[in-house]
Amino acid sequence: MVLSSTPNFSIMRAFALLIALPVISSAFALPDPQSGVASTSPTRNITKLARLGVVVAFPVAVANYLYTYGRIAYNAFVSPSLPSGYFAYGDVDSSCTQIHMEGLKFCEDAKLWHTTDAEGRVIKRVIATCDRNRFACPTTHASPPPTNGSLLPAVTGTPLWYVSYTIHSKVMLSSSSKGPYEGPYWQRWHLRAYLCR
Amino acid sequence: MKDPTGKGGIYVLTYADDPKKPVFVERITVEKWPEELDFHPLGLDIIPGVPGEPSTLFVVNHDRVATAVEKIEIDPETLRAGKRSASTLPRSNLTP
Repeated sequence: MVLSSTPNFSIMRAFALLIALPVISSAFALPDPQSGVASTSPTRNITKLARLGVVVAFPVAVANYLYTYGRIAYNAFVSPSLPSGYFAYGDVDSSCTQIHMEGLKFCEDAKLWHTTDAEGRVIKRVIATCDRNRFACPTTHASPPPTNGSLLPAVTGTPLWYVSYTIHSKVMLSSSSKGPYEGPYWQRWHLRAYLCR
Repeated sequence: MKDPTGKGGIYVLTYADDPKKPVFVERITVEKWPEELDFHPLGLDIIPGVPGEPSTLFVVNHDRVATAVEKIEIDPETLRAGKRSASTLPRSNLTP
């Protein structure tokens, strides 16, 4: 997906050079303040080079800043016209249907849930967790947060957390070097209240 | 938490491959859920059972005092759900 509302990157680069080049060229043309012509003495040349270094450093720094952060600065001050949603395989407005239901907001996660009924028909569902009270109860920010997550091993020997429910009759948390089991019906579903086909 | 009393929910969207067919959205009610127990769900995963058996749903629940993984069994035919067990962790034990 291409975000087309930002200016072309080459335009930003050309803009930076337009600022830098005249300043650099003017630094090379510094005249002798007394005679008005270019001096050839070593002292004057060193001074000239020092001036040149200062004069060049500033526009180069500005040019580098614009080159690096130009697009971000543009987006910070100009509101781009973003689409209502992203869908990797088509147009959101024509391929997707927005679903409305009381309470179906502030959803956090969803999974495909495909089951087979007694007659062998596949029932396709999506199961989602939503909390309409999340604005008043932001659980991840409401209390002192844990210092770190555990997606990556912070300490050798304490990698991913996973839930083991087959070894014991009750749910327990333990750590293992293996990731969670993924079955054939499990897929990640990027959560928006859309259903796209 | 400013107001942890309102509870979240588990929603099921039933759909078909045919885009002309409607999508049904239902909210699952977990039977015998304790009234005093908060439900602020975050991540989930579900294991579909074999035909005739319930599916097993795991939901991370951020209670006002602790974090728990709720294990909920859902009948795919009736969407009846029952809370089976939970592993409650004090927040201080969440990190290795």
